[in-house]
Amino acid sequence: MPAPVPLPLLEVRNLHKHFPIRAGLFARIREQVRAVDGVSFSIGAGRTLGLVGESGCGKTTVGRTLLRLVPATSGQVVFEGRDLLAQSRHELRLLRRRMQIIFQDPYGSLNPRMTIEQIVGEGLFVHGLARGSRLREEVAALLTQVGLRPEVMHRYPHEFSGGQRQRIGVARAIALRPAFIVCDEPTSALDVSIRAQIINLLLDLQQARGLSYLMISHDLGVVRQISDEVAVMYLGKIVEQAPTEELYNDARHPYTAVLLAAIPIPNPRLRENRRLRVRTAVDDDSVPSPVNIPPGCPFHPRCPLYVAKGRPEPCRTTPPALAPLPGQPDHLVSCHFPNEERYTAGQGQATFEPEPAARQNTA
Amino acid sequence: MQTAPRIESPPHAANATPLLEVADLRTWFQTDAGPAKAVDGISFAIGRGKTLAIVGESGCGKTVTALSILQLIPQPPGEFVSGEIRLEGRNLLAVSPAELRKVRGGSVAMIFQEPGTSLNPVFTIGDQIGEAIRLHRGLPPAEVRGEIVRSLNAVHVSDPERRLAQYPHELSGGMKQRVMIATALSCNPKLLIADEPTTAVDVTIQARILDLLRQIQAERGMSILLITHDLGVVAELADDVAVMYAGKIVERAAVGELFDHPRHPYTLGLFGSLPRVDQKQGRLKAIEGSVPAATQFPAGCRFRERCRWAAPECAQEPPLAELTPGHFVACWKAGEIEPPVEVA
Ligand SMILES: Nc1ncnc2c1ncn2[C@@H]1O[C@H](COP(=O)(O)OP(=O)(O)OP(=O)(O)O)[C@@H](O)[C@H]1O
Ligand SMILES: Nc1ncnc2c1ncn2[C@@H]1O[C@H](COP(=O)(O)OP(=O)(O)O)[C@@H](O)[C@H]1O
Ligand code: SF4
Ligand code: SF4
Ligand SMILES: [Mg+2]
Ligand SMILES: [Mg+2]
Repeated sequence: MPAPVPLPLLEVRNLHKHFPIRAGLFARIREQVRAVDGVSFSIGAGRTLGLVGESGCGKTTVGRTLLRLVPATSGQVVFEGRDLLAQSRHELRLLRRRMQIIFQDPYGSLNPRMTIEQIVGEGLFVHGLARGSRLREEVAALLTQVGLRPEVMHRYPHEFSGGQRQRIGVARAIALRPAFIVCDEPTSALDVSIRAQIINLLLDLQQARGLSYLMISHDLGVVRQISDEVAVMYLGKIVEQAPTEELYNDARHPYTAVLLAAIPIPNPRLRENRRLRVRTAVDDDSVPSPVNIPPGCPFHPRCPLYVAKGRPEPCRTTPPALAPLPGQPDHLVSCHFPNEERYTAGQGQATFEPEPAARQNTA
Repeated sequence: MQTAPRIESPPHAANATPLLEVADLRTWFQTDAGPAKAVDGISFAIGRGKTLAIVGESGCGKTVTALSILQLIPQPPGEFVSGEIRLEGRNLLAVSPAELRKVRGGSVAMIFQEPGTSLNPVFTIGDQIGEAIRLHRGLPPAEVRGEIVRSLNAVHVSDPERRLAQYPHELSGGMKQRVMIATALSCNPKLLIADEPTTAVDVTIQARILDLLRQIQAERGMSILLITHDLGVVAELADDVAVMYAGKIVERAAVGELFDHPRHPYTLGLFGSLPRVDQKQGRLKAIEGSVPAATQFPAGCRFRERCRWAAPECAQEPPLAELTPGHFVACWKAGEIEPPVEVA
């Protein structure tokens, strides 16, 4: 259903977050962890942007920096027309009501000494929006909305399962009627069936309340079900971004292809095709450290297309810009050869070199 | 180098005795709230060179099943209430402690979910693999080093000579996982038990590890007991599948059959809950509720409270019955339920 293009609720422009670290014995010599290294995107009202990538690529840091839970190194975050990073503490407090976060760990993120009523009602209380029996009514209504019985408000977090705690986390996040929620891996600590329940809950709440989400996840299956648009991150940068179905059906960045092809498809008959699975070009699949980001295209030491094309020089020397494909303004790719290969999720095969000729360590 | 898909092969050829047979195994724990019937009367077999996957949500008894085979269950509170675990015909529940030590890490090896927890942080990689080889193969010291390098090569660890001297914290998660597999494989086990071997790693690393297991299995004819909650991983690796719920096996079949014709409502629920990367589904067909605690399994069909087909007869416990040849289902309604989900 092609709706009219909504105004962006949130716009992130060229966001950087560098963590200084001490290197070696000489405390003065400092290196930088470039956790977020120039990220831009926007999210419309009632829309969801999925943010995917391997562990350590900077997803959580994007979420925390744009909420100003940690200070940004540079960049702009415009929320409902105001630059969040330039707001005073007081203004920020008011804006915070409109922006919330749900964490990955449903165990660590709830204070064990507070009752569920205190946890879910804290924001309402602190902002002076409800007290006493009004507060209890509000909390009861919130708990009902996330599928818990209101009576549980007198109990403590340890009495609940992981899925129930995640529901409590969701109730807390929606208490102040936010417009936008950062969901940082909300389902990855959960079991199969509970994960499905929480995905459904987030979808239902979005429908009912017109919420916008930044859905951070390394689970590309979850992201496909919940996002309107998806951004793929690698070493602090977005390397591909497109409307969801476009990304899953016509991925152009070799890294996106590697990620999609790595996911096991629940169909045993596709096993044969697996022989052609896209591989990264080196054996140790670990992501290089964001302290020493490779020169040129940051993905080149692992890139199967780079190997297949005979290691072309620009990949090693010139960082590719994140640019739209010709005629597709909403499909952005950061690769020198975006038209070379295409990849569709679930095919279980890809057109890259099936197996790099030699197992060489390019790193 | 990989094997051809083996999904059409019969679960157990008639002439070969299975490598491992588990019969009516019950592993309970005594708790203040009464007995926790973590594993409560399960039977299965694994053929030589075959992979059996056990799937189910957490708390269904998968890990207790794996630990029972190696008898890594503390007794008390644990207790083997009934059953036999026959490895090449020998009942492991009846052998001496000395024999059992030879089995562990020898003919049966195990890898765990968290690579960090099973590698000792104060020993080098070389020491850890060397220890396993010395213990189980009695090689002269001069030959151990070459064997370690061979083990690391087998799991495609780059630059194995250098890795020997490294400590676990110097390795990435994927490398640690490989070293753990190398340690487990260094004694040429006949059975590898892999408990959620890829749950804690990125999909890219998972794909590599699954490739590796497949390749090593093809080379050595090793059997694998694969424990996972991910039906995608099952589809990649398994020959046979056992679906476990609340301490029981509720459905068992060859992998192709199970994915084509899942019958148990719990199995259908697992398929419906799966957010698929190859399809846009939107809202998922989630199973409501969650697995009860092992001390509180309901009488009758244990899935009853979460089952939308539940009927009065489900107050009686359904037997695991053969619905079609080789396809076993424990559900009174199995014959009537047509899969509402498209799964393959
Ligand atoms: N406070 C900090 N000080 C130094 N480095 C940090 C800090 N926080 C994060 N980093 C580093 O920044 C990089 C990005 O981390 P981040 O937590 O954003 O990754 P992520 O994509 O969320 O990963 P995961 O999937 O594992 O959650 C990592 O290399 C991490 O080690
Ligand atoms: N030592 C123990 N004492 C009491 N209950 C236990 C013990 N170990 C496991 N259980 C219970 O047995 C059931 C199955 O556990 P487990 O095999 O670890 O599940 P899975 O591996 O399928 O997630 C769970 O309900 C768990 O709480
Ligand atoms: S620019 Fe070169 S190295 Fe980078 S992703 Fe494209 S082909 Fe690979
Ligand atoms: S026996 Fe009854 S309750 Fe149990 S799974 Fe079958 S239909 Fe559902
Ligand atoms: Mg994170
Ligand atoms: Mg387990």
